[in-house]
Parts: sequence; C-alpha cells; structure tokens
Amino acid sequence: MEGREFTVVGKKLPRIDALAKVTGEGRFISDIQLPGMLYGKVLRSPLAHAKILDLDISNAEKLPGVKAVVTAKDSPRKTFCIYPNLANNLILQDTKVRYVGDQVAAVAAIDENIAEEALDLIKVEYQELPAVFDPEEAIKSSAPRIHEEENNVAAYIKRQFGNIEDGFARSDVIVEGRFKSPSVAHCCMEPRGCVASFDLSGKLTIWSTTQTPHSLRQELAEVLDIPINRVRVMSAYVGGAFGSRMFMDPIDAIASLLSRKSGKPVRIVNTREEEFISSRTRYPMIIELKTGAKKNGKCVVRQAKVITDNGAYNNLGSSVTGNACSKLCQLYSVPNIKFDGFVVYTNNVYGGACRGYGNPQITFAMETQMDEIAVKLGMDPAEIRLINANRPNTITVSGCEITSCGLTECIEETIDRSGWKMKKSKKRKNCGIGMAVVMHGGSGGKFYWGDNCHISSAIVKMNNDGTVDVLTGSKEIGQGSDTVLAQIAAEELGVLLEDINILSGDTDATPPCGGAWGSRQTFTAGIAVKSAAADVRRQLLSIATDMLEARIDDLEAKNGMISIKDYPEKAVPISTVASVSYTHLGTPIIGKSINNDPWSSTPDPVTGFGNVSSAYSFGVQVAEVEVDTDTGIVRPVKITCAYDLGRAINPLLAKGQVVGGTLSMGLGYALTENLVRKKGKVQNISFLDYKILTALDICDIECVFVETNDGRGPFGAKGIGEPAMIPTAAAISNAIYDAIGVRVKELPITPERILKALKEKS
Amino acid sequence: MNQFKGKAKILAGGTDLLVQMKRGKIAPEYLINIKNISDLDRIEYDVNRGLTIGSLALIADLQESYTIRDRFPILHGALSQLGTQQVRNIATIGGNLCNASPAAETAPALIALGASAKIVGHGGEKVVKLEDFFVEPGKTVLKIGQILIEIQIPNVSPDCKGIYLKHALRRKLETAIVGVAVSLSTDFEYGPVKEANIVLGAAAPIPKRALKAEQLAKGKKIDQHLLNEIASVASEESSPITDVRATAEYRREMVKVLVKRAFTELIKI
Repeated sequence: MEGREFTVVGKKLPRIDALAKVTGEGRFISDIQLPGMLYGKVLRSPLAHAKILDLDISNAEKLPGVKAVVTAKDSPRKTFCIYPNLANNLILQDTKVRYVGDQVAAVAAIDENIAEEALDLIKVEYQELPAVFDPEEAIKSSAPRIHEEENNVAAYIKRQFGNIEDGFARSDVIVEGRFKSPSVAHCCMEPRGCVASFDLSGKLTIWSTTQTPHSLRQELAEVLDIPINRVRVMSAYVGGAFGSRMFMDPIDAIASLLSRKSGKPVRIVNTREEEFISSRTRYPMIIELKTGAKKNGKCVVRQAKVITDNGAYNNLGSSVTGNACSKLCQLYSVPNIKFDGFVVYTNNVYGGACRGYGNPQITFAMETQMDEIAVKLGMDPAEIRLINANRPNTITVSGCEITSCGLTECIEETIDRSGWKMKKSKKRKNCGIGMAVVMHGGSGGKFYWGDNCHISSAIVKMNNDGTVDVLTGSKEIGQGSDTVLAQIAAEELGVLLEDINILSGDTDATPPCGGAWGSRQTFTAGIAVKSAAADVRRQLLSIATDMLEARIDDLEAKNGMISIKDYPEKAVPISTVASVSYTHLGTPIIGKSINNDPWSSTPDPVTGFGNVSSAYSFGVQVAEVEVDTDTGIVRPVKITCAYDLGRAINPLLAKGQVVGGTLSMGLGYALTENLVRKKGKVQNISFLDYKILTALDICDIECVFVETNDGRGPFGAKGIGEPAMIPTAAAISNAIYDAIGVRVKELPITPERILKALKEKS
Repeated sequence: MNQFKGKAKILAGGTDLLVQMKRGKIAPEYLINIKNISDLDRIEYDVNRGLTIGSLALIADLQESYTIRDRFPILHGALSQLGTQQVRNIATIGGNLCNASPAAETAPALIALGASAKIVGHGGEKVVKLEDFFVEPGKTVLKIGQILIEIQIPNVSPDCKGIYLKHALRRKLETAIVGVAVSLSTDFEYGPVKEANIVLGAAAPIPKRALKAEQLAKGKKIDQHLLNEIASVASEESSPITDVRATAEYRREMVKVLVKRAFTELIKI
C-alpha cells in the first residue's frame, strides 16, 4: 500500500450529503410527517426520589384530542441496559422514581398543546423519599438506598498490574492530587426524537436519532417483547449524537407503545429543556491520582481511586470507568498500575457515552500530573512527554498491543508549529502555553460488553451500468461516515465517487453493524466496506481476464476502467464488464464482508488484561491562553494540534472533527460547561445559562495529521472522532499554570475558581 | 387593561414575555398587543430637549442610530451588548425596562444618563426618574392601566463621558453577571470630577446607583488610591445574589473591577 497513489482516498472532498444539508432537503426527525401522525409527550417526575403511590390517567384519557395514554401497565415491564446483568431501568417507572425527569407516563394527542394539557391532567401521588446527589455521600452506608441493593455501589472495578509499592519506592518524584469533573450535556444541535409506527401486522417502523440502529432494533425488540424482525429502525438525518444516542432512550420505546395503543404513528421530540434534564450526560468523576517518576522523567507508577457518579440507573457507568482505567494503563505505557473504581448510584440523571468515554476525565488528571512532575524535575513539559511517549510495536502492561504509533512525531510537530520553545522562554505577563497528549482507541474496542456490538458488515452490489450500491449498517450522524465509506468503496473498486450510492442505517436493508461509537466507523465499518468492495473487484477482474486476455494479477481497476498494469491503453470500462456479468452471464456481482475485529479481545473480567482495540490513535494539543487575573476569565488564544490518525481518508472531514472536538466540546469542557443542579433539578436548562462557547469565544486552531499508515486500518486509517476533544481541558489547564502559576483541578475552570486559586497562592 | 384587572400582560417585542410564558413562569389570560400603536417607536433628537425615545423603539434601530452612537455612546454600548442580533431585531427598549430584570442592559446606561420615563394611563400622564422606576425584580412603578410610552434623556454636556461595561463568561449572547455604567464630567483630562454617576446592574434587586461611591468621586482628582476606595464603596453598596451564573461574592468582586475599569477608560488616573 505504501507509495500507492490514491484517486479518491486522501482527498479533501466535500461531504456527499452537503447539498441535502445546506438546502434543507435532508429530513430530520421533526421533518417527518406521516398521515394521521400523533404527537407524544412524556410525564416526568418532578421529584428526585419518591414512591409512586397512585397514578390516575382517567382525566387525561377523556380530554378531546387525546388518542392514547400509557403507563408502565402498558409495557412488558422489562428492565433494560446494554449489559443485561446490570439492567435496572424501565421505560416507564411503576413503583418508584429516582431522578428529576424520570418518566412516569406518556400521552399521544392530535397536537402538542393537547398532549401537554393532558399531562397536567394525569394525577400522580408521590411519597417523597430522602435523596442523595453527591457520590461521596451516596457511597456511605448511612446514605438512602436508591435500588434494592446492599449499598449504592453499582460496580467496583479493581485492576492491578506490576507492583505499585515497588514503583513508588523506585520513584524520585511523586505527585498526588484530587481532580473533579462535571456533569455536562452533549448539546446536539437536533434534540433526541423519534417517529414510531406500528402497522396492522404488528411490525414497528421507527425513525430515530439513534447512532446505533442495529443495537436499537435489538433493544426495542427486547423491551417491547417482540421478535427482532418485527422492528425496523430507519435512517433519518441525525443532527449530532456524540455518544448520547449510543443506546435506546426511553422515548424510543414510549413512542412505540403509544403507537401500538393508538394505532397511529407517534412522534416524540425532546424539548431543549428535556435534553438538559433527561438526556444522557458525561459521567462526572472524582479522581484521586498519584503518579511516580524517575529523575530522568520516566513515569513508572500510577495509582488511581475513581468515584463515578452513575446517576439513578445503570447504563455505561462501569464501562466508562473501566475505559478510564484502560487509558491509565495505556498512556505512556506505565509499568506499575493500581486502579480502584467505584461506580455509585445517586439521584441524578444517569449518564452515558460522551465523546471520549471516560478518557477526558482521566486524561485531565494524568496530563496535569505530567506537567507537575516536569516542574518538579525542572524539565520542559514537552521533553517529559517525548521521554514517555508510547512507541510503535509495543505491548502495555495491561496487554494492549500498540502497532502504529506516531506520538513522538505529533509532539515534535506541535513543538515546531506552536513556537513552543520561544514561547516557553520569553513569557508575556498572564499569557501561557501548555501541552497535553491523548491516546485513545482508534477502532472502537471490546472493553464494553462482549463482541457482538463490535462487528461491522457490508454488502456491495455492482449494477449493470457500472454504478455501485454500498449497504452498511453504520450510521451517519453528521461526522461524515457515509462520505468516508463511499470514498473507501470507490478507491477499492476503482470507480468514481459519484458512482457510489450508499445506504446506511436502515436495519431491514443493511447488514449488522455496531454503529457509530468509539471512533470506530472509519476503521471497522471501513474495513467491512473495503473487503466487500475487494470481493466485487476480484469478481470484476476475473470476468475481465477473458476480455483483455490477461491474468488476473496483471489487471488493475482505476477511474472506472480495468486495464493491464503498465499498458493503460489495453483497457475495458468497468461498466462494460458489469453489464457483461449482469446481462450476458446472468451473474450480478455482489460482495459481502463481515469484520468482527479479530485483533482485539474482551479483557479478562477479573484481571482486565487484554488488547481491547485493534488500533490506537494518538494526538497532542498545545494551548495558548491569556488570563485576566482581575476577573478570572481565561481567553484561549490558539490551539496547535497534531494527530496520528493513520491516514486521513478525507482530510477535510478529519479536520472538521478536530476543530469541532477541540474548539467546541474541548474548550467548553475546560472552561464553561457544567450542568448545575439544586436538589437534583437542573438549573441551567437553556443555552443562555448552559454555556457552550460561540464562534466569538473560540480561538485560532492549527491542525496537522501524522499519517502512520496503520497496518490494519482501511488504507491505513484509524479513528479521530473522540481523540479530537480529549486532551483540550488538560492543555488549557497546563497553559493556565504557565500563565499565572496556579492549577485548578476541578472542571470547568471557571473565573471564580481561578480567583480562588490566585487568592490561595498569595 | 382595566377591564382585565391584572389578568393581562402587555406584549411589545415579546422576547422576555413569551419566553416566560413558554417556561410556565407566568400565564396571563390576555395579551394586549401594543406593537401597532403608531409613533411609539420614534427616536427624536432636539438640541434643547435632548433625546426622546418611544417605548416601542427596537433595540436594533436604536443601536444603528448615529445620534445615539455619537452623542450618547454609553447607551450605544449597552444596546450593542444586549442579547443577540436576532433578539435586538424584535426587542423594544420599553420591554427591556418594563421586564425589570436586574440585569437589563439598557437600565444602568439610561440611569447614568439621567433619563426619565414618561408614563400614561390610569391617573393621567407623569414623568418619573428612571432610577425610581424599578421596584423589585420583575416589578416597576407601573400600575394596572399604565404603560411606559417614552424615555427622555437630557442632553449630555460636552465635558461628560460615559461607558457601560458588561461582565459575562462569553463575549456575546449573554446575560450580565454584573454590568456597570459610569458617566463622569471633568473640566479637562486630568481635572477633578465634577459629576459622577455610577450605576450597577445585576448587583442588586434593581438597577442601582452607587450613591456613596459617587459622592466620594465628586469634586476630587482621582488617583489610584481613591479609585480603589470608590470601587470598594460601590461594591459595599451592591447587594447581589448567588445564582446559576455566579456567586454573590464574585459579583461584589466584579463590581469593584468594573468600576475601576470604567474610570480608567474614561479619565487619566
């Protein structure tokens, strides 16, 4: 593959859905109008913890225009969670509510106003119970129990590699600290929503803002107690997901129940307020971290105690905490590790996947401490990272096989491009520069729940005019996966990009795929599409051998032609070969591929040892900030990044990931974003007070890609989606230290925290 | 309005009212739309009487007025920092004042300019100083049956300069954590302060003049030491709350910072 010239891959091509998006032709959930469609609304608990004593829906049912009211009684009352053994959530609660926003009943009516009015007519008698919101309180034996369990610890994850006593004994420098990270919202441009429609045969068709259509199909079949082939999840355009739509939301199932009961299609779309109150959040963590290093800067031991606020129900709390541990072991390949992770129930909304999956939380702690160690040793923070950087073809103490790795090159690129050395030596008052590194799975991984969510498959069909249909189970959610997968198919087949018709997300038409999570679609779905396309290409070339009187190995497909290598004039159009195959030989060409990611394995459940991902992506961000020491306001000035993403299939889209991840999610996580709750009730339920940064607040960004050409990835590619946001908070925090000499170890780094730290320093 | 006896609300731009209704914070039975009353959106300048603004004048139109930009820069500054362009396009100055948010952008600037409010309706017509217009958050002196129809701003003497500073996390699209309007008149650049108006926004239940701080400044040549004192006194005069945007302690600190910055912008210290 090295040295091969590409025609479609590696090109800065506009996304294939650009026109549909800019003209408004693309249909999102709120654009879907079906004949007779009803509007659903969900009655949510106003209390954080209460028994449901009585629920009376009779008045709501009588309201003219109301077509169905559902409660837990209308559902099979099956608990759900992607880990079946941890399932303790219901789509509609029947005996207890456990957070403000928990769903109790729902209404479908002929318009939204009537549906809202009907909600007011539902009478719920609650008996309020003592509630607990702070995970450090909830973990105590005296805390109110949220579930019928011995205590509020939903999971305990213990990992030990090497020998930490020995590690600390051999350390010349030891730093310790306590780091806190907030609950933040994904802030997708499009709120979560769905349109569910049962037909008379009992088959459900649902359009959903899901990022994992095939998983949603299984989950809905499970909670509705119907066979999987009675559920069809349909693709719609999705305005962002970032992990929040990784799995079923109760509204997907509630809309389905309402449709079944009313006999009509039902649409439920969250209000922005509901997005803030009842959608998944990033898991907040309290991390106590202790790191030891040798005099030469080499990091030799890490010990972490993590308390994760699981919220009211199990979802991905233990998996996200496990991934934080995974990164603790992987970054810089530290040989001695101890990890104790407590995943604790509280009466807050339950969390979910959120771009980075535990890694932004632990990276903030790890990369702050790397800076602290550098300061203690009198070393350049960039130098200490070069010393510790992961290397290609190494195995971590936890069993991760790092194959391609361009971390050293990334660090060097950012040092050069940011003017690091000059800026470190010539300091301007209240201005600072800081660096942070990220290592993340670049291919999804198997640390989650077993292998079946991690497969990808594809079918590629060649039509008799040489055009191509690509069927993939993956999901376009705005990240550009349809474009990237079409580029991969076009490159592999030797056809033009416009000859590709790609269908993703329709579970009746596409083969199984885990979907969009874990920065995995370019890698895993890409491999599946590439292999299926290669299957088609082989069939085409085989037919062309007779037409060109050549051996198959001597043929190549490029730019819509099959030709003899080195004799481009001896060629036949792919369309002719396709037509011959389809029409004359009666053998339409179809290729298929299933990629079950054979290089990765689920870690040992007891020890945690295993190679969780097939590929690892790396990156570096250098942040420059200016701090107003009177007001505590931090202004980002510039961010310089370098990322090892194996190969940029589409540099335009890859850069889009980095820009969005860094300047929006990364800076917001670092500086402003925080769901503020009072007794479990979210106080900032609009964008006026939930502060995502605007175009006026962000800064310049420079981004360069280090292409290490991964041996396993399609055309050498690895994932970039999550790594884009992970190191920003740490880089900003380190830059603040460089500017004003204080470290704020709680995110977001608000002006008040800056002033407090300055006061403590003086 | 009399007919509906408190069950009605007046609708002007609707950028505050409709949001509050949507959130379920208020549920008026009637809305009285005054958008179509002609002539209430005028912006008039007279060399003798000063500036007269109809209460339905749009924030965006006021922001674009050259008269305001050139002769009342303190007001121009406040208008430019109000909400977003989309909000400014439909919000009215009367609405911004009658909504009586402690954080309303235009109030501190107008009070610093010595503006008055003309009220008509039940009980005839009267003019009140804008600093006496606000009663508590969400409440003004307007009684049922009265509306604000005009804001009157006296001419600014040539030796007077003013500025409105807003502190918030984001550069735009924000509610003020604290807003401070200061206007000062001096004979010459280094001369003593003849008149000082210091008005605090989002730092008390209503937009509030820091009268003691003003007194401290009056007649004095301001140096760094005195400015620190003025700022501290202004901060003591504030009575902010803790909410989702900031703590009271931080707000008090920001009053200090903004008062100092405003003075430093306006005169040589």
